Amino acid sequence: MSPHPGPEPFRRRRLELRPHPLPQHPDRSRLLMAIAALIVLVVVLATLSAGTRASVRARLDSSMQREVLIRRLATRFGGDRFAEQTARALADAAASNGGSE
Amino acid sequence: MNRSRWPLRVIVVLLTVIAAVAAWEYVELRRLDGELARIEGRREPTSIFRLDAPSFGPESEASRDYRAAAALVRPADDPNRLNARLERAERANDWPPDLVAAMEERVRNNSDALGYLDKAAKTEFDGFPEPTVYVTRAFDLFDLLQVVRMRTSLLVLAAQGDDAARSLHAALRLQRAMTVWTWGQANRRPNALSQPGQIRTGRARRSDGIATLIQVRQLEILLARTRPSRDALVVLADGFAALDNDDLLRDDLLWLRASSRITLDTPLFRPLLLHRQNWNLRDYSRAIDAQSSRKWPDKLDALTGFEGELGRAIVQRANAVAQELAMIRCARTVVAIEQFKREHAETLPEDVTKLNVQPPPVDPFSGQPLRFTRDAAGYVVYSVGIDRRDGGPASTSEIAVRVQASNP
Repeated sequence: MSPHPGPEPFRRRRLELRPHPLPQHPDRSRLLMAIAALIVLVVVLATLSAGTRASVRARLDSSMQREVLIRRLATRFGGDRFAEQTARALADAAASNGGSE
Repeated sequence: MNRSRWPLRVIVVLLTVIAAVAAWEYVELRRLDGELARIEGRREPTSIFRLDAPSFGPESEASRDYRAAAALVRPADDPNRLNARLERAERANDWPPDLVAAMEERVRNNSDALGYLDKAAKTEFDGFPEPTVYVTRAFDLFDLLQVVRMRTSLLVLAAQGDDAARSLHAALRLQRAMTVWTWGQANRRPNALSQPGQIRTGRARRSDGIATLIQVRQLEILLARTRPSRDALVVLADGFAALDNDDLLRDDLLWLRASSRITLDTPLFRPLLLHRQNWNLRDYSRAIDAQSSRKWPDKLDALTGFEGELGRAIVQRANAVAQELAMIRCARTVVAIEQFKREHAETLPEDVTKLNVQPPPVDPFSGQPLRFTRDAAGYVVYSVGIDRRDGGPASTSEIAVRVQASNP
């Protein structure tokens, strides 16, 4: 029960007619902000994870250095890994036996 | 209104889940990186890629000869069947003529390979060079091990004790060469290539209980049917001593930890997989750390709290390694007893503590000297075994090396 029965409906109507500043927008904007924050968080975590993963991979493998080593040794032994190595082993062993074998 | 909000809410929920998973993954990756850094800091191998490190400098003569022998060995037509028959014959000490003929043929066909093998056994072996892959894919060396085993048996049957002992020695040295592994570190240093010495940092031997069991059974047959000279026994003692390693369990666990596969690129359940891998890595590291500065059997006792699938596997492996070590030490003790007999008119020693074997072989299951008993059938050196109770040499849980009294 309004204490001012006369002007009240008008005021209410005015209020109702006045364009709502953000009818549902406060919630929507919060959601959008949350989405933006989560996307940033995911991107940051993914970046950090990628860096850590690279570090782990290096500790596990150091594959690039290993490839360099293998190439260097392969050059020492010659092209094909197995055939060349076998041939060289035989040659080396025969040479160390003074060609007696 | 509600209808326009719910897609956003769904997106928020999904993104929250993704962020939580990403955070979990990051935490697990940090843990993994930290643990690997700790392993690196202790100069231990972190992965299988660090094992069998390339050897710089001149290749050793033994390595060349082993590779030559492996290249020359001719595979048997049906190696598994022949192996099974050989095993049966060794166990029953019963040698059918057709088996002996097949063995003779195989040994004859591989005389070149055996020549290189014998030569390699006399020189110091310090690892195969990269890109030799024998240590991990050693099929040809396994073939060679089978051939030399047959040769030893044939020499025993021909009562040529000294030659059989030298043949067994060559097999023991080959086994060592196959189980020795090295690891590299410091590969990440930019100047590592210009300072090759920094690359190799460790050498160890991993366990191979089956190969050792075969060698020990051959020793039993050899001593049951022949009487090797003192010189031949010295060679044999050297062969078994080369396999004895008080840190065998630690070395084996280092190998297992480095060999355990760590995957970073699985598309699904990645954090869960990382969590599991971290857990496994921590279990291995705990087991390895527990080995340092402990003596047998404390090395085993330190693993009593290990639970879970991997924990139980580690305990099982530790027991198997201890069994192998016990077998090697029983064999060393038996060879030392035979040496004692040659020096003391074929009389047996009162106990095994007075034998000339350094360091004195300790039973990994008791921390005490190995047990020694004699009877009309001969003598037995044995370990108390996994149950750690001395049930006598006949007890099934004991690891024993028996020498028959018919030893000529």
